[in-house]
Amino acid sequence: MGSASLAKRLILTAAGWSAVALAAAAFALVSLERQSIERRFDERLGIFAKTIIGEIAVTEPEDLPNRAIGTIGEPRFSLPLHGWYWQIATKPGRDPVTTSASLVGERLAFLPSKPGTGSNVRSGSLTGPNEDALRAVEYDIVFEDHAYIVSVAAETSTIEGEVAAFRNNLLVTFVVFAFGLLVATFVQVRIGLRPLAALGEALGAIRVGRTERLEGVYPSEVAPVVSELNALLAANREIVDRSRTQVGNLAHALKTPLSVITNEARAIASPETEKIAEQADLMRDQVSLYLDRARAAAQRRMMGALADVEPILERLIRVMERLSSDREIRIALSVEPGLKLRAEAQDAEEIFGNLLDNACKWANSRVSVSARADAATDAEGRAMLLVTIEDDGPGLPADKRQEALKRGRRLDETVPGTGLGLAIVTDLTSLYGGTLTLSDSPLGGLRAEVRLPALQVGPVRTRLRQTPA
Amino acid sequence: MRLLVVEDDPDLNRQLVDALKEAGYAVDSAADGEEGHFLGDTEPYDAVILDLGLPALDGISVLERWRQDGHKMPVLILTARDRWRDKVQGIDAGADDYVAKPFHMEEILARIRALVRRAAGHASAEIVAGPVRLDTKTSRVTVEGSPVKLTSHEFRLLSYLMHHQDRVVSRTELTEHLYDQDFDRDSNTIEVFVGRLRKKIPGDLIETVRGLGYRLTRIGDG
Repeated sequence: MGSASLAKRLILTAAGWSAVALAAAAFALVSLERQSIERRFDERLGIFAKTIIGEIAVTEPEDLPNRAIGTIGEPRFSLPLHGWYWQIATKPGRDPVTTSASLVGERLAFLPSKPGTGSNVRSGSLTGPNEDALRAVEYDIVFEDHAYIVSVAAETSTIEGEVAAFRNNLLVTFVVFAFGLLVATFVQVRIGLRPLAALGEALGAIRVGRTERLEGVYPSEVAPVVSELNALLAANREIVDRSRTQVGNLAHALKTPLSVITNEARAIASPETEKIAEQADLMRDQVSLYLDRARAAAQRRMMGALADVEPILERLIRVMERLSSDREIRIALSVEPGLKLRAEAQDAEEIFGNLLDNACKWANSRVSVSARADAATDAEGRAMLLVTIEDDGPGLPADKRQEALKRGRRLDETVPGTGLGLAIVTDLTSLYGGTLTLSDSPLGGLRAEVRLPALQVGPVRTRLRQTPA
Repeated sequence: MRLLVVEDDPDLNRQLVDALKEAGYAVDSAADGEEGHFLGDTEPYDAVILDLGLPALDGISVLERWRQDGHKMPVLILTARDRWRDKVQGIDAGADDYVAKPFHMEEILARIRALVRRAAGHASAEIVAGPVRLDTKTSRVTVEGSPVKLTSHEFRLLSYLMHHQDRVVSRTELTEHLYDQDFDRDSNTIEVFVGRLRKKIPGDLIETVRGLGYRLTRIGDG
């Protein structure tokens, strides 16, 4: 049956088995019924035979051939070659002494004798004088010193008719019965396989990341599979986590040697060392790209992870102010209080931190950060919030913007280290089902807008921060 | 200017020390957190380059202990950990700058220059005292616009005095900030260098404060 469905297998097996069982039952019932009909027929023939034997008993042997035994109550014994016959024959010679009128001079054949049975009654099938199928009963009788074989035979069409009628009734009954069985099997299979369908759905939910393990109660036959699957998932997660940790460790471990190589190569000015420094820089870019990717992929996307927007932005601004303190850049923060992101705090830090870093890098003197609830929801109807980070720097032409955004999406074509660091930002935002758009800022530079799934809304509060000169 | 490098990778440590010495700094180095903490705790440094992943005591703890004990020297964190969470942690522990590995040596030099300058309260890369101008980026000194050739010791002395102008700087402080810990310190050498320096720049710029030390005043600076 190969890959045929389990339900199909079960139904086909049940149907096949039922068909065989029903056919066998029907066959048995029909033969039993035939036997019973034949027995009744034989009994009837036996009554006729006994009537004839009675006639023989009251007749002198020499008068027997001329004795008018007649129809003995069955008119068909007088209809010529019409299927109903009787015959009295001498036992040793098998010569007919007298017969029914219906035989019109023909004679009945004899049933094969069954030696050793000791019975004087036989019954069986015969072919009649008219080539018709007959049912016959023979009695061996002895009166004083005369032995006779009394045969009574009748055509079997009535037997066949009764059997056929029984068979037809049985067929109708069994067809209805078989249909009922099939329906019952179908229902049973559907009910029986329902846990498997549930299991499939649960696995699908794990694949799309809605849950981490198979929950719920399964029947005792499926439960071992479920617990094995859970164990497998856990083991798999652990392997993936370990590999990611190792990617991270590898990337970190490479950074110091790369620094050494770069510094060593840059200390001596020659075409060879220039090449080495250039290649080391490429390696550095690759290392940070894949480290970022490993981190982004490592996110559990935990259900219900929430991050407060305001403290995150405040922290990042504090860091940026310290890191760019030799340039006088004013970072203005305007955030609706109580905004919460449906994301892990460290991912939010990575997204906003990189955008803020860019803004500070390119700004002349002003950077503006604002966060507010978005009126529009996303395709799934989730509330969104909008974080805007803009600067008064040179900005980015429209064609370059597309390029900058595209890089994050196409993994293998990504050229890292191009200065904008947006790859990780686009990766992370799309991971959370958000978007990043770049446009012109009214301040004169670039405006980056991040839309991310949010929890809450509130009134606006504005604060200005001034970097220490 | 005297710096401390705390880095456990011996190659990187050596490179940093060499590059910083070449740029005119006196440099001490430590290879683990405990040694680094001890040096920073006991010696007066003008800036520290601190790795985070250190044996014995991690960099963040080293930094936190220094800050708890009231040491205010600028600290630049140099680390492979480049997540924003790490940066926030480093800055909150009291770091003044944060550079992720791998880095370019020029960047470290530029940032150290900026840290030292800022710590002394100078906003621009050029420090001016009267007719003398010190370009911290190029380490060049000009008097009335014409370049002056200085030896590295002379440059360190002038640079320190100019960073801390209008303040009396003792001979001990000068010794501590101009030489690394392996140098055979003799405060008399300071007098020799001050004497030589006075011949190359307007002599009255460096004032001797009897019994206390030296003061670079901005005479003629308006």
